[in-house]
This record gives sequence, C-alpha cells and structure tokens, in this order.
Amino acid sequence: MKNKKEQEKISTLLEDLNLLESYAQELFSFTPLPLFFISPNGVILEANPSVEKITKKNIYEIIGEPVETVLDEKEIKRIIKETLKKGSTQSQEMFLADKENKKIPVNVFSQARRNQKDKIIGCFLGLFDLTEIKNKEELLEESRQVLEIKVAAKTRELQNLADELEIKINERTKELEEKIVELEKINRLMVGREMKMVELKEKLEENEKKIKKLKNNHG
Amino acid sequence: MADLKEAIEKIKEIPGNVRGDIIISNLLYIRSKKGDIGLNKVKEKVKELNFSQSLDKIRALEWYPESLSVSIILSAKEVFNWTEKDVFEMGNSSTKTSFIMKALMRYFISIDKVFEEASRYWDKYFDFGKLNILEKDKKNKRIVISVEGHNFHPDICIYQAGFMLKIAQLSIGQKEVEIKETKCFFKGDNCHEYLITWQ
Repeated sequence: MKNKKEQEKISTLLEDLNLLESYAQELFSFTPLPLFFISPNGVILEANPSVEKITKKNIYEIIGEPVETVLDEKEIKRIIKETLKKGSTQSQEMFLADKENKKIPVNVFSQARRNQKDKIIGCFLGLFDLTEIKNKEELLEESRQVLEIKVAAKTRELQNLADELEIKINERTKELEEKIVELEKINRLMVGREMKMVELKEKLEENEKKIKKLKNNHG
Repeated sequence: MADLKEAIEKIKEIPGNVRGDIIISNLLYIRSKKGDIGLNKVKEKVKELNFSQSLDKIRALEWYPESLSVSIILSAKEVFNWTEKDVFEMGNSSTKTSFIMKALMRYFISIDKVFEEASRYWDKYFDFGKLNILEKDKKNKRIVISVEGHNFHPDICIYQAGFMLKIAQLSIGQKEVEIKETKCFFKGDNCHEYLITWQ
C-alpha cells in the first residue's frame, strides 16, 4: 500500500517535471531575443534558437565554443568580469560576428546564475539585435543630410534671387534717381519759366498802367 | 540488416533504462545532420527492429529501455553508413541539446567539480551501471574514468567516449582535450576505462 502511494507520488512528480521541462523549453525556444548561458570561464553552455538565427550557426556549432567566437572578445570579457562581480550588467553595446564574420550590432544584458549555495556558476546573456535600429538611424541620418543639402541649395537659390532682386532694385533706384534729377531740372526750368512769366506779366501790367497813366495825362 | 536485427535481439535481453533526454538528443542530432527524411529513415529502421515505442512521443524525463536508445544509434550508423568517427561525433554532440545536461551545468565551474559530480550524471541518465573516477590528476592534466555494467555494444563505448569528452571540453573550455578508451568489456576487461587528458 505504502509502496503504491510512493509510486503514485513519484509518477506525479515526474509528470510535473516533464511539464516544467516542456514549459522551459518552449519559453526558451519562443523568445525572439538571442539568449546564451555561459560558464564562468566563458564557454557557451546553452543557446536558444534565436542565437542560431542571428549567428547563422546551428546549435552544435555554438555550444562548447568560447563566447568570444561570437561576441567582441575585449568587451565580453569585461562584461563577464563585471557580471561575476556585480551580479548583472545592463545594455552594453558591442558587435556579434555571424558565421560569415559579418558584424551585427547588439545590446548585451547579463545576469549571474547562482547555485543553491549562492555561488555563481555562470551567466545568462540576453542580446538585443540593433541592426534594424541602426539601419533606421542611418536612413534618418541620410534623410537629414539630404534635407540639409536641399535646404542649403534652396537657401542659395533664394540668396541668388535676393541678390538679383537687389541689383534690379538698385538699377531701378538709380534710374528713378536719374529721372528725379531730370524732373527736378525740368521742374526748375518750368518754375523759372513760370516765374519769368509772372515777372513779365507784372511788367506788362505795370507798363499797361504806365501807358494808361500817360494817356490820361495827355488826354 | 540481419546482423543488426540479431545484435538488437540480444541487446533487448539486457536490462536497464535510460532517460528519454538522451533519445531526444540523438534524434535531434540525426535531424540536424540528415534532415527530416533521414530521421524518418532511422525511425523506420527502429520500427523494423520490433520496438513498439513511438519515437515521436519520447519525454525527456521518462525512463525507456536502454536497448531502444542503443538501437537508434546503431540504426543511424547502418542507415547512413556512418563510421566510428561519426558515432563518436554523435555522442559528443548529444550533450549540447541534452536537457539534463543543462540542469547539471551548475557543476561546470571547473574540471574538478565536474568530475567530482560525474557519478551523479550517470545516475541522472541511467538506472543501471556505475561511473567511477579512478584517478584525478590536475597537475598532470589527466583523469581516468571507469564505467561498469554498461555492456550493450562496442559502438556504444565510442558514443560514450564522445559524450564524456564533450563534458570535459565544456568544463575546461578548450579544444585540446583528448579521450581514449584504455579498457573495454568487449576486449575482455571487466569494465570500460577512459583516459581524459588536456593541454
């Protein structure tokens, strides 16, 4: 009886373990983020399918390899050291090399893994592929540069127009000034002639008065 | 095929169980090397060897007859005309996808720790046989391991050598690790003995 109960208990535990195993596997396989587990001496002990995708290497080519075969040696050694000391690191940008040695920009997050005695037994590395962001940044930068060139060209065009307009205005102003001078001259002449006419008219009136007066005196 | 069938009939008589984890790792390895078509060929071959267990329904932590696991390795060898080197590679690569191995990675801090716990690995995978550390000489960079009670087929000695080598490689973190079977049950010794050396 006791034996049967023990057997049932073991069977339930085994079932629970199987469920946990599937859950862990499915979760690990599902995540689109590349995840590694590495030993304290930097050997890749585990990698998920997203690592295969980003590195273009299969799991058999990745596991057992030193982590510096995929991540920048100097940077990753520094991160492992820091993780073993502090327990985790956040958002460290570096390059990942794929099978064809193409450099892929990634952000690396790390977390120490501990055993039941709280001793560090390795670290998890989570990667965030920055390729899309970098591509967008490059596109934005290109657009900014194109826009800058366009703005500069338009500014130059406007400046040229403004310069041409200024020249035209100056020419027009000069023409107008010359015309004003001419008009002033004419005006002066007209005014002079007018004055002369007034003077002559006055003289004529005066003479007429004189003639009238003489006529009266002799008459 | 007749030879394989005969060999498997004898193997089936040997008691002992293995975790499904090893079987799954081997199936994954075959698929990675030969694709789904190749894997199906092996499954067919195993079926022909009169195993009723469906290989699609293997669960990592359940126990299955070791004869089934051995049959998969021997069938793959026959179907793909594999050499001993390929069988060694299969053992070496199986550790990489083993779920139990992932759980045991907590001991992969140093080679000392790994081989201190080595017998534990054995018990996680098999409900029979025994693994012992006969010699651990860190100064001269050598370890001697013995395996008792696992006498299914000479090709499995090669498979296990590949498996143990990978554990050493993962813990040491370098490629210059070698393994050699220095004693073998099938050569008249009372156990299998493996010498692991590194640079």
